[in-house]
Amino acid sequence: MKLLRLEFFKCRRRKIALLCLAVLAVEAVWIVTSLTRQDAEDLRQGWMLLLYNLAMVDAIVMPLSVAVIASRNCELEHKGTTLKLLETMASPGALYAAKLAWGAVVLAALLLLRGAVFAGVGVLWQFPGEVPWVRFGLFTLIFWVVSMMVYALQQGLSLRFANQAAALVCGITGSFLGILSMLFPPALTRCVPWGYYGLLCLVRMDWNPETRFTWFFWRWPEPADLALLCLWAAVFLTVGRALFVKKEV
Amino acid sequence: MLLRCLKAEVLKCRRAPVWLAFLVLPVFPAVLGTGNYLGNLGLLRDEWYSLWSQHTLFSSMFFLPALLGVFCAWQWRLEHTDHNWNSFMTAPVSVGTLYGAKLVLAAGMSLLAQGWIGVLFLLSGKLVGLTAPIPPELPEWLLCGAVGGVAVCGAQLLLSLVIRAFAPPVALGLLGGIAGLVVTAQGWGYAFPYSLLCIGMRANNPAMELDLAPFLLSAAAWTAACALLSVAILQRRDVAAE
Repeated sequence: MKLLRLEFFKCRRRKIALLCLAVLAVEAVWIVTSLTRQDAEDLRQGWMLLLYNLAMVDAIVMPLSVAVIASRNCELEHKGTTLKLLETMASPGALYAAKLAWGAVVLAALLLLRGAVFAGVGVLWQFPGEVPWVRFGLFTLIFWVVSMMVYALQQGLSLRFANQAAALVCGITGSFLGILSMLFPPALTRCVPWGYYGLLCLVRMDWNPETRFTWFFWRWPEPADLALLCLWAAVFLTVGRALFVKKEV
Repeated sequence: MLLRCLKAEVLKCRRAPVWLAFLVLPVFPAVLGTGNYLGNLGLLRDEWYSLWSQHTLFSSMFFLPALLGVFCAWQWRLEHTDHNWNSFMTAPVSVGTLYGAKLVLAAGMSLLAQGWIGVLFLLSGKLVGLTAPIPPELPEWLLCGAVGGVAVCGAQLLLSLVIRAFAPPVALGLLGGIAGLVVTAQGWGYAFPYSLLCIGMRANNPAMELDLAPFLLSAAAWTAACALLSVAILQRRDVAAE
């Protein structure tokens, strides 16, 4: 707990809140712009359209955003060569866990705020029906877990390499594969860690090429996909932690 | 003097693995674009032109601006670390020339990236067995893409100069690419540097049209404005070496 508090102290002036607000602003502008182009017929399924678009935007924006958040938190240790000092007071494993917990708190705050903002957008836009709070909550929870899986990968890279280019290039690749994997067959998407944003979305789209009619429907994520997500997270966590713990500082 | 500074910049980048990103990352859109083309042969019937539309789909908007952002952030990172600002600013060369060398190198990387994208496009076309002649406009698409890339490099060099960290300017590169998409959709693409990259490459442009004069004018204006602002910052701001 003390180490986690220290992580927040370290990131005091690193403009993490500004970064999260920028991510939120981009997503809001994107979603609102796309909503303004929909007619009344499309907006009959407003809540589903909103969550579907949000998953698509997340697949593009979140991989690089998570990479940047992880990089902001890990880069300072390289810049100040602080690990030599820190590891005389705390074990590397505890430091790694504290950084991961810091990422979990920041991402949870970002995604909760995001959920509240877009629920507000839906209410203001007067989407038909009640706010689907349960699905909104589940959507936020699932996307937090996916983001944490990506965060574990990015933290491993950002701590392993002093030069943040490696982590950032991985983030760019993630953003690119994240959106493109929505076009893949599901079997292939499961092999792409960033593809889980699209894979675990609670809304699916059905498009009829003859009538050109688009229809959204609710779905629950496959348990096997959730298990695979946990497996990916466990792999990134174990490898990243082992690399950090064994690293000579 | 610019040439000597450029040689120094190239030397600084020696053994830097950043070129690997430029070599490997464009392979993804090429492979995926080709796969998407093969999966939609019923709809995509313009052979090379359809294949180009799939190769440039997403990549020019989200991926290339961020990739160029990584290179520009890399270039300033060299100065931000190891007390290098002190030697950079006390070199017996004007800051304009020092900055110019970085911009020329970034422009060279933009051109090389486009060349590699072109090679991958031709390879993919041959592999999928396209029989039509190669589009004669291809060098123009690539060259215009590179010119749009230079405007992006100007903006990214400015961001990475002002923000003394690696990650935020790269994220802003991605945001710029997304904003470029919105701005292009609103019809203001020629006025925004990040839109120039996709406009130049004719991404999402089935008619493959481009108004060359406003495009070149806008790219030159943005590059010059960013360069002048960067040089002004270099001349006036005190350096803080780490």
